[in-house]
Amino acid sequence: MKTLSLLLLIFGSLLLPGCVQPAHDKTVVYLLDVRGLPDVRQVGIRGRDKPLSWGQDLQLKPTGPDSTLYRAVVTTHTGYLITEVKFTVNGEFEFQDADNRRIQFGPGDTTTYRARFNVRP
Amino acid sequence: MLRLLRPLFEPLVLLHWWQDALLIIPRVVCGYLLTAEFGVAKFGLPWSPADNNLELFEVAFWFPNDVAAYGGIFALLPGFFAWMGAASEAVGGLLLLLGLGTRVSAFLISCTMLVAIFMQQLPQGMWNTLPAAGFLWAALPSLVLGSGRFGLDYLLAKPRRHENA
Repeated sequence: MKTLSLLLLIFGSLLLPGCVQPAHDKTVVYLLDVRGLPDVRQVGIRGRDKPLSWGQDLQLKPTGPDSTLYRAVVTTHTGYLITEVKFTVNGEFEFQDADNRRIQFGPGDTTTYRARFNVRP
Repeated sequence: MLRLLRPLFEPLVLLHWWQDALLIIPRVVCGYLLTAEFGVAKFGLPWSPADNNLELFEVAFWFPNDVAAYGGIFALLPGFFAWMGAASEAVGGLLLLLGLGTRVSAFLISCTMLVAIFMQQLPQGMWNTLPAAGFLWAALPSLVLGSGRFGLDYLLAKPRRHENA
């Protein structure tokens, strides 16, 4: 009985890690248009999945010297089909007290997501 | 073998039906929340959120990493302990809700909650232990009494009680 239990435990411990959801690196290129917004000093993104967090901005950089288009590339190791994010301008969230943006990962490794601040797609 | 397992599944029935009815509340609430909310987010069941992309009986990719961070034996077999913990919540919660294999599911849930309390939540402060402790306290009466009158264990054990009469 003891041997059987031990064998089952060993078998189970070898088998069960195979039942872990596969995860892959998924890259999202975020392009945010802040046209029309006054006094834009800092543009950021916050989100659910690492390396993003809801507590701290990951900064988006302007695509050109006078550009209103900001860009960030975020790679997440995930098994999920979507991630959730919100953009910030000068540390202030868009869509305050409203749902997050849901970004669906494409079938490939890289997805490009274009958005305007505080405007639903 | 069946005779050995029988006391494990046969429920204890309290003196009055309302006593069993009262104890069904923590069992059903605990079972429902575990299988429909907390467990199902990290363990693949037909009602898991579609966005989580979990196959049947698959544990979420992030959970073994969390379990490995507990150190010791958990770091040695993170996949095994993650699967056991997630299955205890999702499947164990369903069984607890139905009152089927009640003591076994209550035992697995209690073990999972003890690990959650001491390995994950207590280091972040006593207040953080409350959710897992709540499930632990709700599972304890079922661990002792089984399903009582209101569960599948009672229905399955009923013919045997007539045989003994």
